[in-house]
Amino acid sequence: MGTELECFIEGKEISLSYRREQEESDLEVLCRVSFTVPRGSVAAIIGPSGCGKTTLLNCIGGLLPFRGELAVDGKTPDEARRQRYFGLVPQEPTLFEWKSVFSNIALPFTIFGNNLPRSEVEERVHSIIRLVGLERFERAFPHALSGGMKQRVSLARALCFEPQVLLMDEPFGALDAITREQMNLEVLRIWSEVKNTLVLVTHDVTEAVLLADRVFCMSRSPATIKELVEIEIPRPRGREVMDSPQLHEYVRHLRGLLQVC
Amino acid sequence: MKTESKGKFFIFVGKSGGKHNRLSACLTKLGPAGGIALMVLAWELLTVVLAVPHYLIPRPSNIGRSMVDQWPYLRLHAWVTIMETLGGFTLGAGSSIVFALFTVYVPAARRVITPYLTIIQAVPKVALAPLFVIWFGFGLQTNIIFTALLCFFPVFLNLITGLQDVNESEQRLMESYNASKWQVFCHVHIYRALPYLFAGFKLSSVLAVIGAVVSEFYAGDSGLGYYMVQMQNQIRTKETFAALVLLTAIALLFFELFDQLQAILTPWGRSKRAQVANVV
Repeated sequence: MGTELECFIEGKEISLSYRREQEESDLEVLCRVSFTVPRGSVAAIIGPSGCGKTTLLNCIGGLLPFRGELAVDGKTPDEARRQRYFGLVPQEPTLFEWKSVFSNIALPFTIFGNNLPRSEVEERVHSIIRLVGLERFERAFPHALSGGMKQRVSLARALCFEPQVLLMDEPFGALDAITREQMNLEVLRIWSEVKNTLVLVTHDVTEAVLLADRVFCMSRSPATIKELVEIEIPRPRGREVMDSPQLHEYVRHLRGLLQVC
Repeated sequence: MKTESKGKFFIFVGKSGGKHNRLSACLTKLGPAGGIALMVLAWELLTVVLAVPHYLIPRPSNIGRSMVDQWPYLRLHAWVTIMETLGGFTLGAGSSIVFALFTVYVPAARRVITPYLTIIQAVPKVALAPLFVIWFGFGLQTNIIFTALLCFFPVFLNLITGLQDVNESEQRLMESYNASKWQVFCHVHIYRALPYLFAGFKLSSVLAVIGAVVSEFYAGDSGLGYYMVQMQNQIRTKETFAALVLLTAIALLFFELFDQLQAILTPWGRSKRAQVANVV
């Protein structure tokens, strides 16, 4: 990575523990985690399940209090959250089943209540729906959609207000392998258009290598960052990357790291 | 191996289910109205064949005739019962919504209200009817208050369950947008609570008719419940039955009203609505 890349998210010695009431002790989840994510890059966090990946993502998003220092664009995560820096793609699609696909995607605008004129909001939602390929389902309710389509809507909702940072929490973990592969390629395509900073939590090593510029490998709980792996596969990446020996080399290396963890 | 055993299983079901399938197909073709018509016909025939005394179980045709004969009276009494049902339901359900909102969103109110409500909930409310006569006297006001009491708890309990049915992921998402509590209430909690609210409404709609009738037994000077007691005293069984049929129709209509209202107001979750209705 060249030095010209501006550091956008910077975490220094982040620690977090939960209070366990019954045992009157603290459960340490994160232990002095430090990392940096350059502006406009993709960072993936991988690690054994239950190691605190999601917790770290929630800290970045200003959704959990923690100890240590964490800056997003020079602001605290909470300040950044209040200024609507984050587009969150949760583990489950988390669509509001009483709102149509259109209203679900337009929800951030409704909440922000900003001075965007209605026509402008509609224009943006329409274009984002085209981007994720759901034109025919604009007026449908979520219960009529498949798992992959729901996750597309969730992605579109996070993208539509053009947040500085996209936070994705195992977004395709619940999808079947084929759909997940399609979604990964879709994310690559969309990201090459929007180019915002993306932090992705995943337990799928291939997904991490395919999408990310750098992969943080976390250890078992209490979690620290075991190793930072820079993925130097040139962009734009497409389907052909999935079969490249370079990708497999990275995947094998990361698998080895995870086993050591 | 697997497919073979599956096939066997399937054949087994097919063989044993043959007759049932034909019967159920028959019943489906008849529909609920046809089924009821068939039952009424059987009733008519059995009462004639077995020579059941008319003061025990009257023939449906006689019940129908007495309904026509008594219509001017029945109409007036039904009107009173409907008014009490509507009034009691509105009062009971309305106040329970206010109480539920307080209980869920005002912690201080929750601590004060909850113990009392738990006790009142445990009281067999029908047993309060005689006391209500002492407190509120005979007539409309007593019947409406009693009906309201019966309608209160189903709506109250369902609504607090619904308002507390919070999805953590949704909550986090709203927080990431920096949404205010009021916005979360308007965009999430209300909608999540709606199916529960309607489950409560449907339960209460049936209970409202029960409340009105029971109260009329004790405190009525008119209404279908009062009419039934009068007829019963004279052993006029077919008139009593006529009032019963009318009451059932009123309750059904009231229930159906909320079912339709729910279909209109919550078009997103048809499957969920069916589940709630089954539980009811």
